[in-house]
Amino acid sequence: MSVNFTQNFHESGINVIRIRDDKFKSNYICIRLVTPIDAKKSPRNSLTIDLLTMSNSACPTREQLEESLADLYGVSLGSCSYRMADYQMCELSAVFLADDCTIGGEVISDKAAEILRCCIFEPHFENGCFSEKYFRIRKQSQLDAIRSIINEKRQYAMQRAFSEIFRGEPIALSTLGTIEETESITLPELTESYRDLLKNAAVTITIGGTDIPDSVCDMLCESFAKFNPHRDMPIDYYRSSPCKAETLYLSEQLDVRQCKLVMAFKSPKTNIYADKVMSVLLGGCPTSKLHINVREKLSLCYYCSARLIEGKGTLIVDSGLDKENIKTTQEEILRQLDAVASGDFTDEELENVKLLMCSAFRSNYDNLADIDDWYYLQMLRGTSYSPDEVCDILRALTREEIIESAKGFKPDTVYVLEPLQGGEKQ
Amino acid sequence: MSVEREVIDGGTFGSYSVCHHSSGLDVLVWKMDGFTTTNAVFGTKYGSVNTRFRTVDTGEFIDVPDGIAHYLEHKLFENEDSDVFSLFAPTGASANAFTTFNVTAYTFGTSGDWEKPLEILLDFVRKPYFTDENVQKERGIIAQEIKMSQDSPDRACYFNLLRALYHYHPVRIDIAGTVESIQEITPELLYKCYNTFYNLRNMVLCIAGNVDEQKVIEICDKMLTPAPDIKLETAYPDEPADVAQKRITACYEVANPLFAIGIKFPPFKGMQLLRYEICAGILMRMIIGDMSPLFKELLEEGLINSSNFGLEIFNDDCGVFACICRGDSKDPDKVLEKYIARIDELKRTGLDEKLFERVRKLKYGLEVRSLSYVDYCVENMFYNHISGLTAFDTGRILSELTFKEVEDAFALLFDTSKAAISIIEKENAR
Repeated sequence: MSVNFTQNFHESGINVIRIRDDKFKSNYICIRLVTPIDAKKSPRNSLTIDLLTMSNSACPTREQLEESLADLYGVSLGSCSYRMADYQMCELSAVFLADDCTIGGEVISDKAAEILRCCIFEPHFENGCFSEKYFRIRKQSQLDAIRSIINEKRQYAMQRAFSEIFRGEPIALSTLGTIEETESITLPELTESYRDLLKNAAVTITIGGTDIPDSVCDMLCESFAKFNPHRDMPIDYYRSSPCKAETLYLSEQLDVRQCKLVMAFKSPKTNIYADKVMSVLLGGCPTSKLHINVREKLSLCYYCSARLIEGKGTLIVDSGLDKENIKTTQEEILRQLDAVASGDFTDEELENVKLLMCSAFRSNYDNLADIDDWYYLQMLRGTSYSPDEVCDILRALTREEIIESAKGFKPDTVYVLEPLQGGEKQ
Repeated sequence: MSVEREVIDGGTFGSYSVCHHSSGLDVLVWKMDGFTTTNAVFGTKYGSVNTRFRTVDTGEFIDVPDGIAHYLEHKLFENEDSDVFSLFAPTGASANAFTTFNVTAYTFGTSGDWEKPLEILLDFVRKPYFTDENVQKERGIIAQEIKMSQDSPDRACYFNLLRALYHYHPVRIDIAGTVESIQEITPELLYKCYNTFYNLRNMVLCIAGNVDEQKVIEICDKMLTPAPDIKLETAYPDEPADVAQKRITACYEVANPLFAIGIKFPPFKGMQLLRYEICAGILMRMIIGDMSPLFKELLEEGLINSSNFGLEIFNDDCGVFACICRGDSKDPDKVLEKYIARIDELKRTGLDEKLFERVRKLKYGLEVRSLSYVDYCVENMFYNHISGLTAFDTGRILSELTFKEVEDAFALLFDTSKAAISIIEKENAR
């Protein structure tokens, strides 16, 4: 299987990815703006990227923009901001129906691309700033999002654990910022932050589908070049997090029925694909060590999973369980990591994990956004392997490499969210 | 074995085959050119609401504990010799399962060989193995799953709304049951439910993506034997048209109060239900969707948060049909008041035809776009087929739907006397 994928750099330093595949009934444009995570700038960037999809100069109100999107068969205009290692990723995207799928063959791709362009480069300004009304709405929305993290306890536990696991490093910070940081943002500051983001971010433009001409890409690149004609922002994706000399244990109480356990392990070495295979073997699939032992054999939990924080050399294991089982579960997780590090797995188990991962990697071919994410991540790694090429790399990995990977990970932090003293919530 | 075959033609959006296999199973195959992955769903018309049933074997109607369909789903992954996941492991396929109110389904997805995983799927779902020991072992795992759900205020808000909308219907009960109800589940009860609902005549196999129909049928021929007609009947309590309670609240550790507002509709079935469901989806967008004047008002007054506000049609052939909007708000009762007032106002002034056309076009675009996703296509076939519909009916109805039909649906469905609200208040507001 191959996908028609090309990648090149515009003269202004913008990375341009094109994915052509006529099996999809949609087109896709994604603009990624990457900056180092920064306590002051990141919350502003998050707010900026949200505001850009509220209106634009051609559609000065949110309602007008929504109507324009609906008239083009429901263009999905999206914005999001998230962490990738020590960087903040701000994304703006448009997904829309392929021209040959519209009623009567109406051509909509050029109009959809223009809406996205206008949102990014021609926002609706009033007196030189973003609309005060939309600024107020989105700021409130960001404040609500920060406060609402407590609503979902697994996510809350993970965020609290992150701040301790990576204390002092950019990744420890939420890209939404704190209540105080967000509350302090003013409208003129945010407008300035918009210009700063477009000028200083590393930019990648992805065009997927078959209806969008190269001229759209050129137009987007030229618009960015007006903010910065010579963009040069290298992304240092791999910066391993130093492991604590002594494991940090901390717990917190909340009105919950189920405890959440988060354990972090860190390794100074990086072998990208060996680390990935190791983490899946340990706790990334239903035949993994953690699933079989912690869940199935000991019946301690519903989930106990491991995942790698790529770029930071960190392995996170998390589980939801009863308070009286915390110690047993911790010990079992350590035992299973040690088992992998001791080579206590069969060749068959290893091959099965590789097969599962290869199957999952190849499934990226069937989704425009997924294959875009795939190649973007490849770029961060400094490679451009296709899913099939990575499958070849996986197949060649030896059990010794997996053992070495596991041996590298040492305990760093143990975080427990537990019910309030006096018993579990009834 | 013999197969009766029909082709469901969606024109430019694709086509698939429905093969009525002589075993009693309906096999749906959608070959999607150019796609790498293959997804399959093997499911039964058996969900959490099916706690009362009879067959030729039981004679009278019998009742089983809440949460048993979900428990059964968990237990089928353990057969006599091994864990089922270990059977899939050498194939590279990713297996999973889910239980809803009205179905239980077993799935796999792969971008490699699909024939062996299909054989495993058809085999393990038809080989139950329940013992006192393995049923007991699962209780702890499912109890943790239930506790995890109980810590979710969003889920609590949703299920409380269903309890407010429905007096007796079993959708009032969480799909996994309760920590208490699952204590009553025994191997005998699991076998009874299994033998009732996992009859091939009550099941569907759907497979889409990189697949070959002839090979699918050959595998079915090899794996399946004819199922007897056990005259299965399910029963639900009589459900009054009005709501059980207008307002329901609970307290959780949340940032802002959460709300879910529902309007209970009369029940329908099959094509009639689908047409009303599509109309209701369009109407919700017209009343309180992001292009509506009401949404603008609520957003600008700070009564809703645009990134956490959603609309949903809740429906099923088993006699439930409602529209739900939910999100968070500093004043959920005010949202309800304005929502009701807007519906009453539209009843007097009439709907906006231009907005209807916009929403219809939007929904058409979203529906067609979804047909590029193998997982959507396979589930779309599955859910539609068990309701006697095809995967292309939604797109077809959207392309021909008239304003008059939506106006009529508005008059019939949106009775504000049948509205209820569920609110999750902040813990310290208790």
